[in-house]
Amino acid sequence: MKTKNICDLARTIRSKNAGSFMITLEIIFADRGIYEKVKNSGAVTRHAIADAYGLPEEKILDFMFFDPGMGIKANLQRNSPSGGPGETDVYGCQQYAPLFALEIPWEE
Amino acid sequence: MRKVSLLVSTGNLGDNIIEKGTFYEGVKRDIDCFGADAGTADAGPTFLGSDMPHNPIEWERHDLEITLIEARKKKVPMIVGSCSTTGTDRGVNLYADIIRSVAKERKMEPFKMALIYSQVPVNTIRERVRKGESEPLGASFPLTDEVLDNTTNVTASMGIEQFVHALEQGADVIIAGRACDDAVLASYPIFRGFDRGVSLHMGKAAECASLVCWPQKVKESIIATVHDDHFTIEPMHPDQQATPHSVAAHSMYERTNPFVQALPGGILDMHASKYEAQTDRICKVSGSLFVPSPDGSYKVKLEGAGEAGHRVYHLVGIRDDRAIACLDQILADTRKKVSEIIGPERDDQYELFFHPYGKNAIMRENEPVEITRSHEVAIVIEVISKDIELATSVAKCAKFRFFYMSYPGQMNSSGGSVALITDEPLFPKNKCYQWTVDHLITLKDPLDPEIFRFTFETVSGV
Repeated sequence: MKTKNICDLARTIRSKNAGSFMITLEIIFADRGIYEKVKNSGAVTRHAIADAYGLPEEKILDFMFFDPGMGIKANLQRNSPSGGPGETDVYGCQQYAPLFALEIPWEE
Repeated sequence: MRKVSLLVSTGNLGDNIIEKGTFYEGVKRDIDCFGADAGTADAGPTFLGSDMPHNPIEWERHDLEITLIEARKKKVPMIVGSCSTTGTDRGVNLYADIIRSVAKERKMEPFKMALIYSQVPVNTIRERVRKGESEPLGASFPLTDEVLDNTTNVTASMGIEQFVHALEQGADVIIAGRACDDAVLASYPIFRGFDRGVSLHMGKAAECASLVCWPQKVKESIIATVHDDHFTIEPMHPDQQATPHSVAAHSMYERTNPFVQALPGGILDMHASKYEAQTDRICKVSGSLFVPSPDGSYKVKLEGAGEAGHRVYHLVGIRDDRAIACLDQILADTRKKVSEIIGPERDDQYELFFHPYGKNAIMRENEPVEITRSHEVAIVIEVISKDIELATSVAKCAKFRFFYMSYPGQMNSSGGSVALITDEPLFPKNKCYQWTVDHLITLKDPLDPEIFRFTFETVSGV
């Protein structure tokens, strides 16, 4: 089956602190048709996101589709709280790149 | 139809300056209140722990000055929350001094200023914890004596009730300590009798000013207007649009859940929120509900930070790709050797971290890429210890051991394995702090005088 990469379908892919102990990952679409197609493809799941990070599924704390914002959201527990000893990303804003690996089954 | 309009010009007062063009465009409209949030925990625990300002004072003064001048011209309230990033008493006092000085310089007519302090002494928290009035929020651990002994500063995040109290006392300007972002903006319409759900969702949507609009721009003004059963967002920048999509998407920003937002006394429920285009650049939102806590409890978030120790860095670079190929082994060998030289009996007196930029410094355990394609890497050596001499020795020892590392396939001779940008260890201006408190505390009274303290004064420049 043909696939399309998530970067060719989404408008925004980002990460950010959601409090000092959690990082939130977001994929936001600009077009409702594309968003619905990605949502219905079943290719973006808690399991698929865990896989992209090479993490066990239970590390992805929440996973949800947010229809009004045409967005997909997942939360990751931080390995250590923001800004403390040995911590690596105070704002949590450079934790999204593995999501670029998501491939969505796509027939035109 | 009655309504209340707020001009919101910054999502974080003072972390850079408000753009004047759209601010004065907004000022031309009927504005009932100027609101600004100045806080964030995103900058990390250092600023709360050390009670140090995050922003240059001149930027904070710039924003406070232009806002105060226009608010006083229109004779409408100006509300600022989470002063100086962390909302400590120092922050409230700093902003209050700026307000007094601008009023004097501008020879302003008298007005009433309320200060709401929300920094809480650690011992007050300790007593409340002993009475069983606290529970973990973001943190996974309870507030033990040990955690509180290691905490230097704590703030409580106020909700609607504290701002409304100040407004009821006739405050024209409110300068507040740590506050929920949405409450800073929602409190005025709620004080005026508008619906809590509508007002709170407005506060949440508008708290980052122009970031709620597309294309995204920062520090541009927007107007948020609350009506009886909906609110609207309108950008003042001609190139921006507030669309149902941009406003809805902002509900996701920096939150774990775009459907529900907790605040003192209840939750904002956005499951039934409806986002519609009023025009091509004004978005209308309705259907958001405030749901009071089922048990009637009033829980306030506490933020606290404390010292972890002195922090010392050393920075070493590697260009030798044969060494980069063996990086994991080199890091493990270096760590082992440092422990041996410093003495295993002192292992628990310091923490040693390697941040290998070019490999997995940013995502560490979560990094799925196992083999770096970079032809050079930098390793930031970070050492934390209560003893600065020990921290320095450990940093120097790690640097030395990288300098003399050995690995399979090595071509260089001993003493030339890393490039140094300087052979000095690097000492940040501040110690290392860590978040120690991210908990809820239950209050019997939202105006609990041990948690929130109010002062009222007349400020006059004449």
